[in-house]
Amino acid sequence: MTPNVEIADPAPRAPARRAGRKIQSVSWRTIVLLVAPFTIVYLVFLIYPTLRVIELSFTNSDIAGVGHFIGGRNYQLLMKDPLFWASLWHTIYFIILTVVPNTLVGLVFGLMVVRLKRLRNTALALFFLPYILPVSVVTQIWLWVLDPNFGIINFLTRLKINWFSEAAWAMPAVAFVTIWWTVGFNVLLFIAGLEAIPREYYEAAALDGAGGGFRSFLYITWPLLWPVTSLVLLLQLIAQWQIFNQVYLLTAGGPYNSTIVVLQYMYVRAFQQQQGGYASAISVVLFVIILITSLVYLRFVRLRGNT
Amino acid sequence: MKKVVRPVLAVSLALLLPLFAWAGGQKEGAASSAASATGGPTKIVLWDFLSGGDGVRWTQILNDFNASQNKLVVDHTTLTWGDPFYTKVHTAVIAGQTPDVMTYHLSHFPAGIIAGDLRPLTEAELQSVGLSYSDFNPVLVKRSLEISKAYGKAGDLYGVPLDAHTFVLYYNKDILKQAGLLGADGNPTGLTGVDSFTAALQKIKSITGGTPLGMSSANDPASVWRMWYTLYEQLGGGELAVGGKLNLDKIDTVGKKALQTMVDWAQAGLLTPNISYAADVALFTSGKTAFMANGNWEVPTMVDAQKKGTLPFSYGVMAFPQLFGNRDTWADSHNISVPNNTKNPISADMLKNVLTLIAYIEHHAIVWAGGGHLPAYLPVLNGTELANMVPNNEYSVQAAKDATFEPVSPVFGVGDPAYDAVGNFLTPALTGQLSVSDAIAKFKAQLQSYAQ
Amino acid sequence: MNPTRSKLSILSVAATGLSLVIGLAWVFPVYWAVNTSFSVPENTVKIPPMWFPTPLILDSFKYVIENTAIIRWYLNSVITSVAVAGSVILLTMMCAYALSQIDFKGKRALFVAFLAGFMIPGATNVVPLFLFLNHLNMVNTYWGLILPQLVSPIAVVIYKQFFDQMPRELTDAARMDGAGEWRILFRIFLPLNWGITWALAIVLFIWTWNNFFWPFIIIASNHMMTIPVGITQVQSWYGIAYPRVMASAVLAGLPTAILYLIFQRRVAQGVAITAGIK
Repeated sequence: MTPNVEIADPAPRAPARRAGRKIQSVSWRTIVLLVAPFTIVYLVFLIYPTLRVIELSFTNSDIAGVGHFIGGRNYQLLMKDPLFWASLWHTIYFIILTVVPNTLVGLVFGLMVVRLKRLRNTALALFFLPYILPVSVVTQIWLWVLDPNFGIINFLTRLKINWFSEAAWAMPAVAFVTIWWTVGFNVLLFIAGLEAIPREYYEAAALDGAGGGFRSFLYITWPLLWPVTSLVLLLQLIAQWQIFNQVYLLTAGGPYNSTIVVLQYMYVRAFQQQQGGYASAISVVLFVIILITSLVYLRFVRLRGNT
Repeated sequence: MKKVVRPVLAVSLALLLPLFAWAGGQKEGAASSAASATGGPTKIVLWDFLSGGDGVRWTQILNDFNASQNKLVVDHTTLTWGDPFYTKVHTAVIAGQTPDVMTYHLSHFPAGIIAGDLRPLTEAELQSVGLSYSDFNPVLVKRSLEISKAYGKAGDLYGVPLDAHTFVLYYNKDILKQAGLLGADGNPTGLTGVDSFTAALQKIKSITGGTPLGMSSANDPASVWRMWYTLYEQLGGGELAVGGKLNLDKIDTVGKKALQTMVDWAQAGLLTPNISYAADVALFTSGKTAFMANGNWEVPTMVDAQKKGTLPFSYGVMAFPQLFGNRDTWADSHNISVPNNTKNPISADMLKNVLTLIAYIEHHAIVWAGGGHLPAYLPVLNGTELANMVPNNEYSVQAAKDATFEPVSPVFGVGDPAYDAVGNFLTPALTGQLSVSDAIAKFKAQLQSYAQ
Repeated sequence: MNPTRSKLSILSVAATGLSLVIGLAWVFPVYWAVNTSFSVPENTVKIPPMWFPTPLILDSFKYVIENTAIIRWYLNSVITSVAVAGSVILLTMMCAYALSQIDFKGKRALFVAFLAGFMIPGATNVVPLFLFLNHLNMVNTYWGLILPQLVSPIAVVIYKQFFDQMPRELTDAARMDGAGEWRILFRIFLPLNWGITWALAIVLFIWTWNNFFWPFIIIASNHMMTIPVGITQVQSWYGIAYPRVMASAVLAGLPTAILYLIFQRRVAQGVAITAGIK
């Protein structure tokens, strides 16, 4: 049903009434005024840059926008660029270290906290507090706590490990800090999901002699929680592909470029080496990877587990 | 709650609009023109990277400048040293939102000139505030003019030299005395020649049980570079860049020996293999390491700590010892430069203001010498006040003779790719993650790739 | 007393205790940072470490406030966060209202376009955004900070969800009474959705405050930095620096921490609805 196109007539019109349909007498001007501001922002600051980054990836533009069309040369170089592939593997390594573990830790903490009654908010606040801190505060804190010479962790464990400067430990340490920082978000979602499971299920299972504990978790909690679990996994997957902050602030891609991640490599090429075109190619590849990952995930993972 | 919230929300939303309008006008430089229009002091925006002990001295000079007159006021920001600083400068130049003046390393001049970030300063412009090229250390001026000729406008300087700074050896007098390494004159002995030096380190280790020589290397390729480059030059490696071309032939032999020396020390527990810069300073100032191989800019840290009584030992500073054929030691030079803002070029008035500031800084370079540096301004460099300054006079004369500057090339220098190569390949050799031959081979290969 | 019950309650007390212990251990690093920030520098490198600062000094905080532009960074963060949160709420509320309550040509296409935006990661658009804003001379300005952060399709989706649940009679009656759409939105819909509006506003505020990547890219000079960028980009520490670094971290984290502790419920609500869980 098309809207009435008469403009700027505030006088009430007899509304056209049809059962179940919306009443229409709204002018286009009102609609545009309502919708345009956000739509313009959306087009200018999301859609346009997305198209432009694709365009730029076929140029040798620098960071001032000066350059010309060079065809697919950036992509050709990218395919042969060892640092790019390294950054890809590092990102995947980071994803492996964080997505599932963070979800599991969040679930465990969620299970712990949801049992509490009076102390629940306090307990949730303890796990959630890191999440509302800015990333640079988190990294400054952990750089100090994990300081190899004077940090409290090395003191308590008598270890001498240089956490962010040893190739074997750097990425796991960054992953751990990430989990510390963001698990609160998962805990919150899991609590909401756990609370939504009707108690009757557990009571019925107990009556049927199905026993408590692990079995009820496996057959009741897990399946009913799956929508939340799969959502948490997906959100993290998309977020961790774009990891930059923690790696840049904790290890700067070191030691010896062993933790550099894709977005960081893009930053280096764009702003340190002033190669906007090449960096755009990296961005496009990352975008495509995230897109494919999300679609594959939605197709295969969310379809499963419908109890 | 709702009754209160609604008007509050309306008011806050109403406040948003003028906020936007006001906010839109806030740009770098907008405030200074506004201030001078109303008769207040003109603001000079300065960016530097001088954190650390010398940064305090730098801030002091600027504060003194502000206090000494009421026409100009310096607003300075200390940004992260190295790559981040030069990236920010470049971004600022592109956006046309630069500071009015900045500190800059001589070693980054080639890259900065190529990137179009630096505005040259002619001798005539300097003369407008009573300075001339001949007022400065001729060694520094010569090197700077070489760079100008090779990469930019011949005959002009791309920055006014502020100092030369170098790699020195801080030492703990108490520990050295215990190890019998302190001569009758109170200066260290027995440190000349790599064998004696290594033996001295071992002697100290047997006494204290800890690592004797502290050098930062974790997330700090610059320190590793300084040590390696010093040893490389002392072994006779010569220039790594000649006429804008890289000269890497001797890296496989001389460079390997330099690295091997460092790795041997690390493996024998004589050199700290993987500590951060802050830890390096903390370990020395708390008396845990006997030596600290670092730049002269930590001198004020020692001076201040001793004055406060928090330094638990007597310290000394010496020019880096001669371990091989000569006593060449890494050095670089801080300059004060004007960014090349092509979108909003610096006005003649602001240039005059900046030059006035530079002149003041140079005249008061004795304060800067308190930062451990060797001032470039000849009247201060040759003055008696500097000659009497402790501990500067323990090392400055010798250090000036040994000063060997970074290779002239956009590949080498602060904030340039060679430091990345050092961090990627030389540093892991210290921790044993790469063999010395592997490290040198990969290091050379990476440097060659940068040359393209 | 029933032995099973008392056994269960012992277990449950133990489990509760364990949960609290783990929770406290989890936030211990925050305590440690605060401890260090109030400590005398030489005491922070002592072995064994001090568990409570003795003496407790404020020098590090004083140093940070006097020697960095942290006050200015606070101002920048407040301006940016308020502007983004307020503008997003306003713009998305308006747009969602139209999508929810008004039929018009292209409505479905528009909504699908917004949903598609979920698939576009913001981080990959940084280069063209920078070039574009530079072209408009907005690099290193509030505009440059704020505008790209206004893109929030999720807020539109959330508002539309909630507006769709508003009873039809409300709008019907209002329109019959001659109320314009603006009136309906701000006088009826908004008051009935204060809860989620506040939740969204607070969450948007906190996210914008904590945003590091975009301000890091677009801001070059000290006086325009936001808090998260400022504390990592500006360095003027020397000697044993740890207490000063921690003091700047504490000062930087304080605002959002306080906001959270006051508005705990709203924040939790906001986080849950942005994840699609009511």
